[in-house]
Amino acid sequence: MNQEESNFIDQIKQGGEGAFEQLFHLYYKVLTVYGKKLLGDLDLAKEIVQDVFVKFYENREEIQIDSSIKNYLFRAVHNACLNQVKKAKIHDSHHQEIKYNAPFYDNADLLIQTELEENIWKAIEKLPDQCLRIFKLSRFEGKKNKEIAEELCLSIRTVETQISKALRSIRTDIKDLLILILLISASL
Amino acid sequence: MNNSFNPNIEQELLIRFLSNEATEPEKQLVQDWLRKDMDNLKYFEELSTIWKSGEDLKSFSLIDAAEDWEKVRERMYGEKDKRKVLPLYKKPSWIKQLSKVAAVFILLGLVLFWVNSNYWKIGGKDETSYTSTAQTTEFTLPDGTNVHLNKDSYLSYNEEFGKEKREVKLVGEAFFEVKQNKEKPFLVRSGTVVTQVIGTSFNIYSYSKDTIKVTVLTGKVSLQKKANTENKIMMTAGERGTYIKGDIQKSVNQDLNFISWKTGILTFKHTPLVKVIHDLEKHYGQKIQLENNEMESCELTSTFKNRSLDEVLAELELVLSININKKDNIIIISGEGC
Repeated sequence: MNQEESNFIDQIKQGGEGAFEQLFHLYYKVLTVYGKKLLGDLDLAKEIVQDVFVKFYENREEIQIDSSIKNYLFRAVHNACLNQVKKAKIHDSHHQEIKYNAPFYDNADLLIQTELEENIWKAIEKLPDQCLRIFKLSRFEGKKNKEIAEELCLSIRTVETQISKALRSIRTDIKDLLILILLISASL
Repeated sequence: MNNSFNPNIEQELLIRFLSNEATEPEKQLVQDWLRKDMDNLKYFEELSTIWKSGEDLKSFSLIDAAEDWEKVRERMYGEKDKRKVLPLYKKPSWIKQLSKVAAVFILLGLVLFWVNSNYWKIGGKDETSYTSTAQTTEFTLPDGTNVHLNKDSYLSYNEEFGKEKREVKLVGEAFFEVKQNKEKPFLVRSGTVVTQVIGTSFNIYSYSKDTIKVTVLTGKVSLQKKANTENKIMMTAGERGTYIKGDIQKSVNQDLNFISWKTGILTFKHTPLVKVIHDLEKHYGQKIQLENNEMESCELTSTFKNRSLDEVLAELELVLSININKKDNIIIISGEGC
């Protein structure tokens, strides 16, 4: 761990609100999406991640961070989600049992997937309005190109062009990460 | 594959293929195209990876970090001293103002931050912070500097701001129109990277070295000096900005391992041994020496995921027929060359 990270941890241990707010804004969304993947429930994931932050604050003086804060938080969310699953005995056929039980260090794929999504999300937010609307209808709402065309009074061709524009723009934005991820999955 | 790769196929057809709305002859056309060229296949894999990642993307849009921070903050600190959260409004036509200011630059803080480190140095003094969520926000700092904060971004400074220097911290994306003041440098801190503006000139440096490299993973970073248009660079994904002795240069990022510290993955593709050793030294913090120059012609192609240095060295020994010895905490590689 280098000097700056340990300075940051010192700040947090002293209970500085600014430090905590920064920490929260840095990791809240991505941790919540990660929790959602484990639990299959976004609202529950929000609550659990908020609990993790509050507990982290309350126990800040005793907490030992060995690698990085980010790693610590992901691990904490992972464990909190596993506990939640055990407690509530959620049996959800949509989610593989193995995801619940996998120990944190065995979970690289899920972490990488979350990281990829976070970066795609940031790239999506930069798309022009029309392109963004069409892409969301296609990928978020699962609508067919034809349905989108009817809804927005456009030709199917225009819808396809806009989706293609969106994909290529996102690809350009996250190219390095994509190459890395495809390399990893190719080498596994 | 670079950005200028020309897939030589109708883009709309690929979309129909991905969304499973292509006709049988169209599907055949795509499949023939995929078989024709490795680069086509790679391109398609990249698009299809994005296409398939849709499932949880929606979740990001359903999380309001600012609202949830208020909940967490109340649980931690109670109701006291409400922090300043700016009202959000549409950005004005700030592009027109761009030419009026002494020095402007766009900084994708999160990218720099993500690439370089996962933390901030914090002064421990009273802080003022700005958070924007759904829309961009514009505000003026005490020194007159205008800041346009993009969505989901966070900027803060403490009471030391403006005393000797003007220092802010940034998470997310922001556009700065920096008020000229040669006495007090303007600094944006993103992890270990500091972007500095002094009067009409600006430079970037890191505290440890006088050379820094900014590698852009996503988004766009522009470094611009108004008085010197030759010294303006725009960096997009996959590019790297290097600052050496007052000169900013742009290059395509060739370094597969620039985020190995984070992913735990080291990747080598026909990589010369000298570069392999450099990456290993950086990744494991261990000094490694080549005993003779003959081995400089050796190349390595391999991927290591969460491996110890000993495991990696063992593979090197095997693959490249080299000998590895340890002397006074330095690893020495010897051999007859490749």
